[in-house]
Amino acid sequence: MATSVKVLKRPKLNLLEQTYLPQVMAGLVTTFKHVPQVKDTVSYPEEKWIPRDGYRGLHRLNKDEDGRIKCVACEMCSSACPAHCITIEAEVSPWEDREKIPKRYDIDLLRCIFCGMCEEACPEDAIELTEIYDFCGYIREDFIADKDTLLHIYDLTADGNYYRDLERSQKLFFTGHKGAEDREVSPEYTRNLLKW
Amino acid sequence: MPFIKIDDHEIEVDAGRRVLDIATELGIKIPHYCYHQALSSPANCRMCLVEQVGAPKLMPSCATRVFPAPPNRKTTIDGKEYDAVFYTASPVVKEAQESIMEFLLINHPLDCPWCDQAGECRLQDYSYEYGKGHSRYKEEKRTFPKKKLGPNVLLYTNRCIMCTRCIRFCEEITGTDELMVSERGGKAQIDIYSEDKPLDNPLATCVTDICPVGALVSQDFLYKPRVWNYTRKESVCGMCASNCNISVDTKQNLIYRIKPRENQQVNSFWMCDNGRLGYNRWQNDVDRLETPMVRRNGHLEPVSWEEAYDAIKNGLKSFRNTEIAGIASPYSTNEENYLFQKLMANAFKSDQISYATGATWEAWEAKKSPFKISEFKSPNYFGAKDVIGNRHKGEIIEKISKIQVKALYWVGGNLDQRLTDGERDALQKLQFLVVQDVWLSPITEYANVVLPATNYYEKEGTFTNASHILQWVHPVVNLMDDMKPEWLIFIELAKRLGGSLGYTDIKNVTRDMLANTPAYKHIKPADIGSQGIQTRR
Ligand code: SF4
Ligand code: SF4
Ligand code: SF4
Ligand code: SF4
Ligand code: FES
Repeated sequence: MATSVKVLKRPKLNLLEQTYLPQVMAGLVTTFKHVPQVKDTVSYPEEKWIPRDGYRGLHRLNKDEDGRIKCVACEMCSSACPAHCITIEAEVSPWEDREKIPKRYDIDLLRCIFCGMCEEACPEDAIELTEIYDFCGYIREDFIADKDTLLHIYDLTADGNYYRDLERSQKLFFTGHKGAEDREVSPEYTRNLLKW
Repeated sequence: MPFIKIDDHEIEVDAGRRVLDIATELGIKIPHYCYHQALSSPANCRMCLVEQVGAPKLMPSCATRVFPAPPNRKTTIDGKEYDAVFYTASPVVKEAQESIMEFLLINHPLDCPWCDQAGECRLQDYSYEYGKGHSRYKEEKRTFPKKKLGPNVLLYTNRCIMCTRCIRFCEEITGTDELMVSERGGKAQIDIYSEDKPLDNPLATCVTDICPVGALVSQDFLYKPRVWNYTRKESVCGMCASNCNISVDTKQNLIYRIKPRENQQVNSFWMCDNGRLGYNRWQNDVDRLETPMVRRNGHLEPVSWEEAYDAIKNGLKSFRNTEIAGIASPYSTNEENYLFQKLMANAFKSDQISYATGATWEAWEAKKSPFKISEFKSPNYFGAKDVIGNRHKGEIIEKISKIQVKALYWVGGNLDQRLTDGERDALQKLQFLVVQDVWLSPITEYANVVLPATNYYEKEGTFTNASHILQWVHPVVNLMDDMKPEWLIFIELAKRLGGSLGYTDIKNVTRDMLANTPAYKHIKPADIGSQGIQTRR
C-alpha cells in the first residue's frame, strides 16, 4: 500500500501573535467566567452530596403503618436479582393477615450491583433502594446486610433524604453497625483486615 | 376404529378413548384441572372445552370419548370423511377458556407471594397462557380460614377451585373416603367427614401433588424455599421394598422435598408419606458416621481410611478362611452386595456369606388400586436374596455361637437395627468384627473396626423391588467429605488385602453383577432404563 505524506507548513505569525497575549487573555476570560458560577465539587466528607430522588444506594426493608416488616418472604427479589446476592429463609408469620415473613433476609452488598431489580420485582413494596451511598465496613461480613440492619436503615431513611440531616450523615454509616463499635480488635481481626 | 381429526392431526384411534388423552399424545396441549389420568372424570372444571364439529355446544375433552359414527352422521371436511372432528384452539374455545379462567379467579385470593404452589401452579400457568389478564369482579371475595385436614396436609379453601381431585383420590385410589364437599354454592368447600377421621391414610400427602392449585399443601413443605430454586434429581425411594419412583428437590446438598415420579409398573403416580418424609430423619435426627473408626483401648477412635484398611488387614491375618464370615445388607445396592461377595471370596477366601432381613413391619395395600407398601422396610431385600443367594444370617449367627466363625464383616444400614439376645451373645463371642454402618448402631458396640456407610439418597447402582423389578438408584446428594461410596470401599479393601477385584468404576460392576446373578442373567444394563425392568419372566 502506498503511503501518501502530507507536508504541513508552519504558519507565519504576525507580531501581535508572536507575543501570545491574545491567547492568554482568551483563556483567562473562560476561567473568570466560572468564578461566580455554582460549584459542583463538594468537600466530602465535611460536606455531603445529596443524591436526587430515585438514586439507587443501600437497601432498606420497609415497614407498614403498624411498624411491622412488609416483606412476606416470597423470594421474588432473590429470583429477580441478577447478582444472586439475596438469601431468604421464611418462617410462619405471627400476624393474622399474612402467611409468612422472612426469618432471615441477607443481602450481600459486595455482590450487589445496585440495579434495583429487587425493588422492581417486589409485589409488597417491601424492599427499596435508598439514597445512602457512603456505607463502609472493616471486614467482608460487615457487608452482609441482614434483616435487622435493613429494617434499621428504614428507620434512618423513613423521614426523607438521609443526607439532608447533615449531622446524622456526618457519622459514616457502618453496615455492620450492630457489632462494629464494640468489636474487639483481636490479632485475628487484624489479620482479617490485612487479608484484602 | 374411529378416524378422527384434531386440529391439523388426522388419526385412527381405539374406540372409547378420551379426546384429551388422544390430544396429549399428539402433542396438543389442552388445559385442564379436574381430569387426572388415574382418576375418573367428573368434567366439573370446564377448562378442557373443545369445539366438536356438529355438536350444539363445546364439549369437555376429558369426558368426551370417540366412537365410530354411523354412516349418515360422519363429518365431511374438504371431501374427507371423519368420525369426529375437534378444534382445540378455535376462537370460541379461546373465548370459553378466558371466561372459565375469569370465573375460577373470581374468588381466588392474591396469595401467590406466600403460596407454596407458586411456580408450579396451573392457575398461574393457565392465567398466563389462556387468561384475560384482568377481572371484572368488584365485589368482596369470600374467605375461609385455613384448615389442617390431617397430620401432613393443610387446606387453604380460599385457593380451592373445587375440582374434586382430592376427593376422588380418597375414593378411587386409597378407598379411605376421608374427604367430601360440604355446603353448597359459593360456600362449597372441601372438608373431612368428621374430626375423628382426619386425612391420615398412608398416601395422604399425594393429594397435595394432584391438587392443581395451592389449596392442599404439604405441612412438611410449608414455607420452604421457592420451587424454582431446586435441583431436581430422579431416583427410587428406599424406605421400603416397593421402591417407588421419586424425584428429589435439593438445594445446596440438602433435600427439601420428595415427590413421586410416574411409573405405571411400580407406583403409578403415588408414594407413601413415610417415604416422602423419611429424608427428615436422615437429615435432622440421625448422627451419621462420617469417618472410619478403630477400637483402641475399648473406645472407637476416628482414623483415616488407610489406617482402617490396615486394621482390617492385620485383624484378619490370624484367622483361617473358614473362620471368617460376612453378612450383607438389604440396604445395599445389588452392585455393593455383588462386590461384597467378591471381596469375601477373593480377599478372605470365604464363601460364608448371608444377608440380613432388615426392618419389617406391617404391609399396607390401597383398597381401590394396586398400590402396596411392602412389609420389608429395606429397599433391596429381594435384590440381596437374588445376588447373595437364599442364605439367611441365622446360619452364620449359629456358627458364631458355636465358635466355628471367629471373625465377621457385617454390612448394616438399618436405622432401626435391634439385636436379639442370641445375636448379642454371638457378637460377644467374636474375636474380630468389622461393621459398615450409617450410625453408631447396636452392632457397632461390638465392632473392632467401623466404616461409614451410605444411605439410599447417596447410593449409585440398582435395587430390586418386591415385584422383582430392577431399577436404577441415583445419588441425589453428595457424600460428606471423608466418606466413600460403599462400592469403592469394597474395591479398595480388596486391593489392600491383595485380592484385586479388577474394577475402577461402577458401570462395569453393574454389567458383571447382572451377568453373574442367575436371576438377572438375561438383562443388560441398557435394558433397565428410567422405568426399570421386570427380572422374572
Ligand atoms: S439491587 Fe440488583 S443486585 Fe442488588 S440486591 Fe437488588 S436485584 Fe440484586
Ligand atoms: S422483599 Fe419483596 S420481593 Fe423480596 S421476599 Fe420480601 S416481599 Fe418478596
Ligand atoms: S394457587 Fe396458584 S394462583 Fe392461587 S395463590 Fe397459589 S400460586 Fe397463586
Ligand atoms: S383442594 Fe385442590 S384438589 Fe381438592 S378440590 Fe380443591 S383444588 Fe381440587
Ligand atoms: S378437565 Fe375436563 S372438565 Fe375439568
